[in-house]
Amino acid sequence: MNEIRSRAVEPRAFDHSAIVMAGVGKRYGETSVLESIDLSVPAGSKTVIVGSSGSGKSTLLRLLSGFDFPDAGTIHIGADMVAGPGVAIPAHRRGVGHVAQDGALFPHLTVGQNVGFGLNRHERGDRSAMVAELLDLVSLDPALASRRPDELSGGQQQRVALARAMARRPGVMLLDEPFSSLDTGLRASTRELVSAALTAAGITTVLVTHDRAEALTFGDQVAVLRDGRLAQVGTPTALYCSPTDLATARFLGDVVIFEANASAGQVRCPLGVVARCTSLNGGCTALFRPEQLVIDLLVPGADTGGIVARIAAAEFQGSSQLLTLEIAGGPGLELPVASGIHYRVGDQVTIHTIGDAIVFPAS
Amino acid sequence: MAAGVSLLGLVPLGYVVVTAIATGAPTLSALVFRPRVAELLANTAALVLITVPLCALVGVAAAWLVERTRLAGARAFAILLVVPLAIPAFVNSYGWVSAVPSLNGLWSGVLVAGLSYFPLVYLPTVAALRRLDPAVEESARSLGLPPFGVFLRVVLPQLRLPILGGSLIIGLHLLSEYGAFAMIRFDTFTTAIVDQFRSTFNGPAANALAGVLVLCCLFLLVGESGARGGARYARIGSGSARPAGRTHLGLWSPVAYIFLGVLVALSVLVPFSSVARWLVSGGFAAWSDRYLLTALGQTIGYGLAGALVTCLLAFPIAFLAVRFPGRVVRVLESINYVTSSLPGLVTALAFVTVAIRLVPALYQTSSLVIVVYLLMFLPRAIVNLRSGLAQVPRGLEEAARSLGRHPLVAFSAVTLKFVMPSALAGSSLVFLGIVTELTSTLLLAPNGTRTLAIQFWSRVTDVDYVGAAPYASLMILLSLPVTYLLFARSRSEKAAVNSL
Amino acid sequence: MITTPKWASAVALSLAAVLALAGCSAAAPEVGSSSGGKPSGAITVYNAQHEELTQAWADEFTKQTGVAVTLRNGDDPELGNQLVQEGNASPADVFLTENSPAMSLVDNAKLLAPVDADILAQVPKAYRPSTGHWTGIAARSTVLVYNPSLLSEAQLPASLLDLADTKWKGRWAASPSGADFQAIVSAMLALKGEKATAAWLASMKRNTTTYKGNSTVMKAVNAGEIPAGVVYHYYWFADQASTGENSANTKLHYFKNSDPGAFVSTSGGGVLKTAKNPAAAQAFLKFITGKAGQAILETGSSFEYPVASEVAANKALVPLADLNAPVLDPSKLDSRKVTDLMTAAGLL
Repeated sequence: MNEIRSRAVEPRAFDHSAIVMAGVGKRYGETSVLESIDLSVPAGSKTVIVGSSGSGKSTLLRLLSGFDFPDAGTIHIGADMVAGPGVAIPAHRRGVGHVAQDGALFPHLTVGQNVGFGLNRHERGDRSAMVAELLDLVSLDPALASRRPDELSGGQQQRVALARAMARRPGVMLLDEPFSSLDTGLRASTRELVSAALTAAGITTVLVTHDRAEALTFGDQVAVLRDGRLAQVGTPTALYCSPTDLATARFLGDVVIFEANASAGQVRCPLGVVARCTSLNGGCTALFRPEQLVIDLLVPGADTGGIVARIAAAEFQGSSQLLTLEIAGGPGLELPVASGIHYRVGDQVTIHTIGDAIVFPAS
Repeated sequence: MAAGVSLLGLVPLGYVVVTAIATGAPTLSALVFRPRVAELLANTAALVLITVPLCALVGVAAAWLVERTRLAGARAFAILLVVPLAIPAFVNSYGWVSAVPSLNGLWSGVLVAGLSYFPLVYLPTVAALRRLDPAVEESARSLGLPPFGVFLRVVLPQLRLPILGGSLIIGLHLLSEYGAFAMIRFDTFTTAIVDQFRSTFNGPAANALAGVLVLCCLFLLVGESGARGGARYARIGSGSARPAGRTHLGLWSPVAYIFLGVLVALSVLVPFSSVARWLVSGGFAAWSDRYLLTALGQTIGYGLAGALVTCLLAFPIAFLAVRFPGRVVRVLESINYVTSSLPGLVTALAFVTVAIRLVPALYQTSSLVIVVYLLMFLPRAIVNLRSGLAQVPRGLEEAARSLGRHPLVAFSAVTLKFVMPSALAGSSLVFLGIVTELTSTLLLAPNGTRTLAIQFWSRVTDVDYVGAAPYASLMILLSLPVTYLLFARSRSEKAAVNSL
Repeated sequence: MITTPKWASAVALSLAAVLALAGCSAAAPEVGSSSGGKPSGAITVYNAQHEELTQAWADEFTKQTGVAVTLRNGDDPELGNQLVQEGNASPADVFLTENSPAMSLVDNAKLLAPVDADILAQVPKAYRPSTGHWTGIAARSTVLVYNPSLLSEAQLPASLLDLADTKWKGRWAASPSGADFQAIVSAMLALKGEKATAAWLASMKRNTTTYKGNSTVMKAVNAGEIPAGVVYHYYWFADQASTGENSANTKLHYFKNSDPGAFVSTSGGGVLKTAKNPAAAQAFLKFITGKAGQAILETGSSFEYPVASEVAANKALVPLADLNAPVLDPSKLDSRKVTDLMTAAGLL
């Protein structure tokens, strides 16, 4: 399965190619949809592009697939320029796999015919064996090959679409929100299967999504797209722990925000001195991830440090509970905690912080 | 009640069978197996085998050019290509014979019929093209297929249903058309049956020919059903609302413009200019024909009454088909479908006989005319109502009831409102059919009936082309609003454009 | 079983009831007084004659008597056969034809009532049957219409039977599906017998270009599409009197010599036995065959020949006496046999 087969006929096979986008821009009429996109996807790795709807992520994918061409900048796949000044290689010659949002299976063909659609004429001989192999790769029963697409569930259709795209051994695979139409429970398991299949084949993958969990778990690299520009690119950890702006921070996880004041290199908020920052002065925003705040029931008389707060509301959510805390003389905040200890309204607690807050300029 | 309507539908088929038996095998074979019938069969077969593929080709090509290319004026072409539906085939023939009097024979028949009927493939194909999921075609491209390959292996197979369905309808129209072919002296089964009827009023020869004609219809029905296969081409998944991309034609643009231009000129300009020419030469005098207003009134009257009755009686069947599908309902629907596929002439013949022999009170009454119209046009109403009903979320009605509304009120407030647009579309199609119906009205009409079609035909047979022009223009004018409605619905994402 | 909404059933039932009522009322013609006295009420006429002519008769009749006339228009054999099929249930009061075979058909089915004596007195014996069950109301002559630029006078056929010759292949036209031509064939049948007629019809299948309608035949000859056609005279005269656009390039040839081609066909009028308003029906026939009705043929635009009340024909026409038509009993012309022969020849 990992062999690279050379082909006598088009399209060209890029094996485990890297993708490099430099200065890519796209306009539709007067509106600029993408601007100054610089993105590099190392060969064999997985990158997730996240953004809300309207951020331009689908357009970006279409430029990579070859369904559309950029107005500025260049795109390289492997050693070849596929888009740029004077160069516009169309989709059917790029050898880039594409899995659309709903799978987009051919409704008039069976599953087997769908998967085998991209197979070369030379390979048609042992088609059923190859189809079975591909279906197995995406953890589907090979017996499904004789069924029609509308007889399959959403998750199964997505996996068939993946198998179909993988039949051509592309060096690059592009996935357009492939799990968005699946039920939550199914989403996670399908995602894992797909991720495993792609890793095993070593295919350079770009996944586009608006889902936070996918962004953090699927890829080696995450790129946040906002209003047509890349806000931040980095590893999931880097983006989660060191977001470059508030919107990105909010997008990737729950946040607890305080208005803070920076002076003499220290950032002070109702929880005390929470960070060191030399570049800011005056009003700013301090951001904590929920796991950075630890609360304990106040033991009268004991002084463990930390800020005292009162529980104003406690909402049971299963394995966690959402507490609304009121800091004396300060703002209220909402904090999810584990349900192990049962807190009641009116209890006094102390808050300790772990690690520094992330500081942003006042918005 | 649905069963009752379907039973009525068995009358024409039963009639053909019964008269065949009554005529007796020797007479019947003498009447069927003779050179004249072979001649008619050859003519009819040639007509169908040449015209249908031609229409399909032209219709699909035009649909693709209008929907999927960057032709300037695509929207104008889109409307113009639908206009031939407003021109009844016999008016189109009249227009062509006025322009080229020596027109006659098979190729003239192919020309006139082809120009009249190609929209029957064009329109459903356009609607289907608009509803195709562009992601499927893009996936095909990413799998290495060049654009033409995508069209052949991915787009065309998905268009199989509208192409086959439209072709079937064209075939059935060809089999039942009388006026258009009579005017260009091309003998088909239907023209021969009318001639026989004129001579013998229901004699055995007319019925024998009708029997062969019915067999041809059934043959077409079975053929289309077989070609369609069990495939369902419903859009899988929710799909994006993104419209499919349009191709640049570049150097091929002039060819496309010429093709579409010629098509529009032949199918719209020729009949319109002929009618205009006769109107101009007739002047105001032609419009003071004493029967003009009566004919207009009667046509509208029959049209509205027929549309109303058909829609009302289509409702139970459509309702059952959507809410309680099952074998019984499918059988009922199939009977309706087969009956409506028969030429109106045969249905009319059947009911004339049945009326005279069994129910004289109904003979030569408007009610009988409406019954035959009902059977001829029922599927148009059913198919539209069915798609409308299918879109009503079931939970809505129940929600209304749980909020305290009486079931009837819930029904009318919720379901009826949803169904209104489809009901309107269905009724419009029935109205269109009735306005342009000639042969069965000729046979069944009560004394003193003068519809626009009948008056037009009587003027034409007296070679009074000038006198016929006002009737032709009125028929076209009445049909244009419905044609526009069909055009609008074909462009709407939600509606399914169905059999005409 | 399956519950259809109750209201739907109610609507359907009431609709059916309405339709049934409408049906019944539409079928029942108004009944006028049936015995003696002044004619009144209304009559239903099954009319196979040209609509304009009968409408002119009807309008004048209504003006004179106040009786309303409803026309059902159709062709000779269509209406004739329809009357036979309808039998006693027929709503018709009067039957008017263009030619006599269809009338004989209805008479042979014993559906006609005797015509009043005073009507018969108005019509010469030659134009009414011996049975007295119907009467002639007008007449028309067979002619050959030809295009002089395609056919010279020397080439004109002497007899209708000459057209069977192979030299006439593709050179003459007719409308065999029409009642008019079928009447001409019935005359040939009566004059020359079945064998000769069948042979002639077989040759016709080979030689003739068929059109639908006499006007279309004449138009084609005029346009030069075909050199000659067999039609009735009045089409030519009527067109000449109006714009002439369908006959300007043509001339008429009368066969004469008691040839089948000189056949003068009698248009007939009869009263149905089951007429609901026999008095008015007879009055209508009396009007048509009277001086006023026949004068419409003389002065009107139909150009058919009057046959009764000694009214002369339109000045443009060749007088009936000069036509040398074959002598035939109009009641002996058999339309059913003609249809069978023509079907066997493959013309129908």
